[in-house]
Amino acid sequence: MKKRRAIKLVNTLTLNAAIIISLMYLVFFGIDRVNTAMEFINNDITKWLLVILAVITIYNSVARMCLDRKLDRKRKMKEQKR
Amino acid sequence: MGRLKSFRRLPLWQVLIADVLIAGAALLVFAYFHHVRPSALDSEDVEIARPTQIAAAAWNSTPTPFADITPSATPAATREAVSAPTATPSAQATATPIPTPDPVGVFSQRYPDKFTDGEVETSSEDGVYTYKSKYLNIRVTQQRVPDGSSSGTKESTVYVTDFYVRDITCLQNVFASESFSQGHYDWLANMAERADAVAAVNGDFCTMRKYGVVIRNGRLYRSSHSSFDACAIYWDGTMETYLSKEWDGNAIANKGAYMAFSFGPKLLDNNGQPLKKFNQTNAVNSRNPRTAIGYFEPGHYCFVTVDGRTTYSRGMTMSGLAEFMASLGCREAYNLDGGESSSLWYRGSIISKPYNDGRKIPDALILKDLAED
Repeated sequence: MKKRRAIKLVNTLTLNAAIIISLMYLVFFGIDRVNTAMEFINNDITKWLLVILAVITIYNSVARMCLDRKLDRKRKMKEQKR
Repeated sequence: MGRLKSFRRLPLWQVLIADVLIAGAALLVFAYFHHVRPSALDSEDVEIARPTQIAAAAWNSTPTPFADITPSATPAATREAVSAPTATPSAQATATPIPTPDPVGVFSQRYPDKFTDGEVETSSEDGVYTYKSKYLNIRVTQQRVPDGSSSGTKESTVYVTDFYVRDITCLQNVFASESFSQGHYDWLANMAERADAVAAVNGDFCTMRKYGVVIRNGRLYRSSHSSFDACAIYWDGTMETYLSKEWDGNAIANKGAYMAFSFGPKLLDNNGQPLKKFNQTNAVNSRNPRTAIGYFEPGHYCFVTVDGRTTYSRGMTMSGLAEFMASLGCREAYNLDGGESSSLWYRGSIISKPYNDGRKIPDALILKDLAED
């Protein structure tokens, strides 16, 4: 039960983190267009943020695929029971 | 399971608003670490000594008067205001043979009438400021220049600081913290007064970036490449600008650079004609306050400062600035930091009108008399 709760918590956090970092990147992209010299995108912090966003996105995508397969299995089982 | 059920989910709109707020807070944290927190920058800190041998090419070439370089389509009145004081001395310099050349980076024989024997001569009439000393010859003029808009009625205020240096080290860079570090800013006036300067303009905000060549006062701080155009002023007084794909920081340093910037963009092509396309996004090309450095010949340069973002002076586009630099007769021209940073200080006061009264900057270019030996 603890494991399921932990997975649920991680899923919630990664989903929100993906939204938050993506929003930050949209802002970076906008201000970088206006002032390229400030290197809002081409700096160490944003490079690491990009790595984090990539890892989170992979995790979310895999989790979503697992969920889809789980739902498919449940649907098939229900159909078989009918 | 009971605990899991007791966890009540927030409505989706509340979750999204919370995410936006957290993203805003994260951006503030980012800003602090990105450009507010003072921190040391990786510095190569290598001295590039003044060469003892003279670059023959630089000294064999005769000074070129302004008029020899094809001007662009800028109003004649504007061109006259700047070209008049420089054409005559250049002709004199051509007529006078140079028996034994000055050491590298010294231009006392190249421009014999531009400097005094020690006294300082100044004047200030009708918005034209002049300063002549043993080491410097500065002339600051203020002009109203059409901004090239389709209506043709709008103008911008432009300050041209035309200057000759007796020694290349009369043109110096100062950092706000007196070291190459990030997060240190100061007002241009403070930096200029601290350095005992005669005139000063903002620099290229070089401490903001982690990449790009930085050479100041004959010291190499960084040689890494960046996507920006570069500009180098060499110990022999020549200045060259490069597109981003053309330059290498180490090659610039090895060639004997006294100053090198990686900001830009480069404004003129190799024939001194204004470029049409720049190594910048379109957003940067809009009308803004501007600062640029122009090169005529070794020892003779200009700073151009443009007021902007106000009703009386809208500022210049990059294209407009390039055309203006070409109209002055510059062989090379390079854009420095603009916007709120753009300001010109001359003998105790800011004489341009910086947007929002300007802002603190990390570096400045100054003109100063050298101390007597």
